[in-house]
Amino acid sequence: MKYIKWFFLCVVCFLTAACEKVLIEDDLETDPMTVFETLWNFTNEHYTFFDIKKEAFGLDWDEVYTRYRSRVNSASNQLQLFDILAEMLNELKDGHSNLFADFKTSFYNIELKYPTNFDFDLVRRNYLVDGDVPTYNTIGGYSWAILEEDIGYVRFSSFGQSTYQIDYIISEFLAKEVKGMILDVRGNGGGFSSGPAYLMGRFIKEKTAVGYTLVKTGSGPDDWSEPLNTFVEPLGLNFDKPVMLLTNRGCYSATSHFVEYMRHLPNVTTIGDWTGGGGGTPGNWELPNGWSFRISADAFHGITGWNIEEGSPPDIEVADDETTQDIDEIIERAILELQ
Amino acid sequence: MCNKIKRVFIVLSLCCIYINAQAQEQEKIDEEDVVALDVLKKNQLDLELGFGMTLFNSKDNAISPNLYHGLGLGSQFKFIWLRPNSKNYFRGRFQYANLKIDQYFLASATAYKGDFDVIHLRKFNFIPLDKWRFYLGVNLNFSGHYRSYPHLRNNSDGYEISSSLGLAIAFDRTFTLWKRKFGISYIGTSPLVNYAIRPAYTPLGYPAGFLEDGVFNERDEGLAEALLKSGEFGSLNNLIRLDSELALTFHFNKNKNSIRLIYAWEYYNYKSIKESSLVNKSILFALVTAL
Repeated sequence: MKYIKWFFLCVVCFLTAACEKVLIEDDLETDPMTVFETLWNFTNEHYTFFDIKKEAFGLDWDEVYTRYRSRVNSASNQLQLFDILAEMLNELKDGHSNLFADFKTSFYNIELKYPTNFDFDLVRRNYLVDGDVPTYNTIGGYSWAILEEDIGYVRFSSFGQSTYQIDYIISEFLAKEVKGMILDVRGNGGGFSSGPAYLMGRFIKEKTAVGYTLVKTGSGPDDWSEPLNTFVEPLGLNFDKPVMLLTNRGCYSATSHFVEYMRHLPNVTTIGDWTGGGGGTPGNWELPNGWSFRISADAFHGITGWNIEEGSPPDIEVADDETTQDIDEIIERAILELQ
Repeated sequence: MCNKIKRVFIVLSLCCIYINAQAQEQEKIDEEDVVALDVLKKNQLDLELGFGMTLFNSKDNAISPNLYHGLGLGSQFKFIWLRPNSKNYFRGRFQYANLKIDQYFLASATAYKGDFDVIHLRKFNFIPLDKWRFYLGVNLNFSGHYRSYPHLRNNSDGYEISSSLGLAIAFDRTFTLWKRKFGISYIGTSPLVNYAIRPAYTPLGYPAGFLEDGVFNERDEGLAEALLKSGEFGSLNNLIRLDSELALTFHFNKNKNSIRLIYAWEYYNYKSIKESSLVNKSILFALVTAL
């Protein structure tokens, strides 16, 4: 009887004192090789654009492993390791790939490879001014004016800003009976993923399918969700006159989504350069040493199945001539189209 | 901090063992009091309100390969309905903690956890110890554990939500020591079948239902509905959970109230594509009053 009691107490002690070290798997080592392997493996299993990157510029992620693994050794210090890992991530040429540490953040900026095709200061000084008096207004992320040709001009600088103020602008355009609208999203690097649908809602009269998203659902190369359709519903004041949507390589992420949504509408013409891409929602994860990183974790395709990661083409490709200091060739072409 | 909790536990355990040994020597004195307490507790409804510290250890492989841990606050309420041959508990437990990892000072998380348990126990003396009362029964548990990782912007949420039906065991005894009435009690529960919800996959953390309804809502509307239908029925294959509560009770001589020192320990492991594990330990100080 006595032994039963003590046995019983021991069982209770075990049940109550069990330590997490036994029950939860150990953390990975924090040495440079393990950190490198973890980043490469996670990207290998979760990144969503290997196919399109291979097609675009011949990315071979296995070859990347071989090339960078030889540069990492146990003696690599934090700065060296960060730079190697950041360089490896930049092989993806994806603006949604970043490595974050307390002393540095890595990024890849796709627009640096291409002509700017946009200078808002030039636009302000030459199109939105009467003498020395500005003719444009600003609210939130918008700057807008009615040009001499009775055309409404709206620049939207970031989808990190609210979109609803477009209703005030549309109401003024409609009251002044403009011929059409130039919607300038050049240099808009994106922001909230909900913004494109809210803004596009002003340019449609019925619920519209704009594309679909595939989400990675497992570590295997074929582990994808079913295509998830995206619909946009009418919202706010409607503008159904012709719209010239100005684009460049600085249109990234949410703005690339917006351009892809809009460019198939019958009253919308895209003018300028390709968009920059950024068709995947970036997801974050941690490395064994605590640094975090993010990579694209889903893939948006337009209504025609176009994968926007490498950008969407404009209907009318126009390059801005940087030698002309007072003319924006892309705006000029838009005005011409609207007249 | 883990070591401190361990030390406290060891002291508590030694106290229990010591008290138990002392109680053996006072069996004759105890007998009258035990009988008195038993009489007192027949058909009795008690309310227990406890508050204390919790040590969290959480590893969510959908978010990070690292163990997040930290000290937080815990509270618990419990209605205890004592009948001659059964015990019934309705227990709510809430915990909150700020978590961090050892490897990197900028990584942090906030954890919230809530549990509701309905436990029905029948007296069942399967171990022949005179002074101890043993119980076997069932446990209905509703549990939610949410973690926010603010430095991970696009998938900063980790969560598990589950409801389960499982087994419960309990035992207790009362004794007198230094002319004071004490009690030791233990309740342990473990689910057998469950309906559990966890993000479909890393790194975006959408509920599985969100990825199956054919519509991708950029505005993240309808996530709650998708969340609720994302659960999966399972057994020990997908959710292992052990919940253990050891309490030392001191009964006031002058009235039916008592105070209670509780050591609660919980472990669970949810095996989804990326598994999540939790161990937390709490020390609670509770007041118990008869209703």
